[in-house]
Amino acid sequence: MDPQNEVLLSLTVLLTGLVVVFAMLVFLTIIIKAYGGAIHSMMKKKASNKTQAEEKPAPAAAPAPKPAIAVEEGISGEVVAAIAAAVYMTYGSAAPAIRSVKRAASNPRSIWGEAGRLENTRPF
Amino acid sequence: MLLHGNMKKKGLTFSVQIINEFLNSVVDIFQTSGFASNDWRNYIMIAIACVLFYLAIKKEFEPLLLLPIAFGMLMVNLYPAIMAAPTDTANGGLFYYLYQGVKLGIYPPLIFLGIGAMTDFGPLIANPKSFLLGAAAQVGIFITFIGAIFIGNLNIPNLAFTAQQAGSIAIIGGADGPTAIYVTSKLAPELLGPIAVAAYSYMALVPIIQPPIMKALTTKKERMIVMEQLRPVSKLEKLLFPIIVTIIISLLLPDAAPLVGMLMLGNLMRESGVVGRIANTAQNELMNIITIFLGVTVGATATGTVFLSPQTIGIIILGLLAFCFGTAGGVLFGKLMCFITHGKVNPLIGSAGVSAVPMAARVSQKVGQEENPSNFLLMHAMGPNVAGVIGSAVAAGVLISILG
Repeated sequence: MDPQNEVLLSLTVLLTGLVVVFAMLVFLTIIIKAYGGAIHSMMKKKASNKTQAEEKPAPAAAPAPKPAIAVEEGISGEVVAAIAAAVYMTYGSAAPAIRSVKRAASNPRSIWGEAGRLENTRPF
Repeated sequence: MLLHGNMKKKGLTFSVQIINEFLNSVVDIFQTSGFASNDWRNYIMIAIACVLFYLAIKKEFEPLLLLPIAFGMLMVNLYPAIMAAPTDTANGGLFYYLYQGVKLGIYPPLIFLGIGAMTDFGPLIANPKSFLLGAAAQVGIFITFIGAIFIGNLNIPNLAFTAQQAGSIAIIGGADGPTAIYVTSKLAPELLGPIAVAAYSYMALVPIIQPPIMKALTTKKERMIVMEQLRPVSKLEKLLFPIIVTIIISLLLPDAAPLVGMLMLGNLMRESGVVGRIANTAQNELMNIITIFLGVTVGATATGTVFLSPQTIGIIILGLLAFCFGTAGGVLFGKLMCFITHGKVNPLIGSAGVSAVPMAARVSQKVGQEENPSNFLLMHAMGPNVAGVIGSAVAAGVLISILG
């Protein structure tokens, strides 16, 4: 390749490459920002509507005191707190109230084996 | 007596015949053995394979790839027929068939499928400006291309590259093994061995190559910048991302579609949450199988005659330059963003734009924490890091489109 062609090719690849890569990624930036913003504001609107709806009903009579959780003897408060946190993490605020905490009947199968079986059979 | 003499003579002749046959068989075995057919270059390659074994096993430098690459290199230099093409009389070697996945550009997109299934694009969606850092870090590719074209003017014997070979060497700067292999298999398959070894070796050396450049180009004050926490990204945004990226890139740059498309398919499988088993397979079993085939067969292209040439030394030097320029490009663009945003962006995250997921992001985190132990840049650096994967796939598409 003669030097003139080398310079020509090098500059073509450099310019085309940088312009195309930047243009493509700038375009993606704009698109993602736009749809991200749209979804974000849509969700905000939904959340504010929900809050308004929740605020509307007149306050009911004072709720009855919540029943205490029935905890089996020997289970410490920390364990109950950890279980409550795990339930909240799994189900979120939709989680039903915990009424009792007791030890499960001992399972002769390994818990990991059980988890593997569930994972493989869930779709069927 | 005469009969006895004849029998003795016959027995002697028979014994000599057996000894001759035995010697002929031994000579035949020797002539077909590696000792007779291999030359000194094969033994050097075997030594290089052993060095790679050391780096993979003892130093744990990208072991998942270096180990099969080194073994492929070892095998082909011990038994070259393992890569032999089929003829009328022979079926061809095992690696020849496995190599078709590389040659036809099948394995790299499948690896991208697995990468997509493993990648969380959340940090990039939360801060789309990271895309710019991923683009800036690709500058190393195009600067190295110029270097590879002009290196022929040094007049060193056998050290010149065609435009296609220069493009394949330059893509090492994308710091993305599958992309480098994909581009090389399309543009210069004869350089597949040295380019793959250089690409994966430098990716393993990212924690050594990048920090000095990052420190040289930034001030202590810049390295200490604490970035704002990223906003949470909704599931809908994560779901739309792979679909939108696939549509845009495939329409605008079809040459990048196989890589980006498979990356996004993997990601959609992950984010949709409805095909958990397939997503698991893509990121585990399938990815592992392809990694074995890819590593072994790419290593098997590194025969003594191909690898031990001035071109390989050129590839190794240019590959290093590509990494350095890419890192510098990302950091300098990070500095520019830092200036524009009045110090809201830590320039260290720019170096992660070279891809090498997640190693380059970890390096940004580590260098940032050296200056400010309470600074956590990892998630901020993951944005440019995954943008770099898309950026290098786009750069690959550009190179294939211009030079292919």
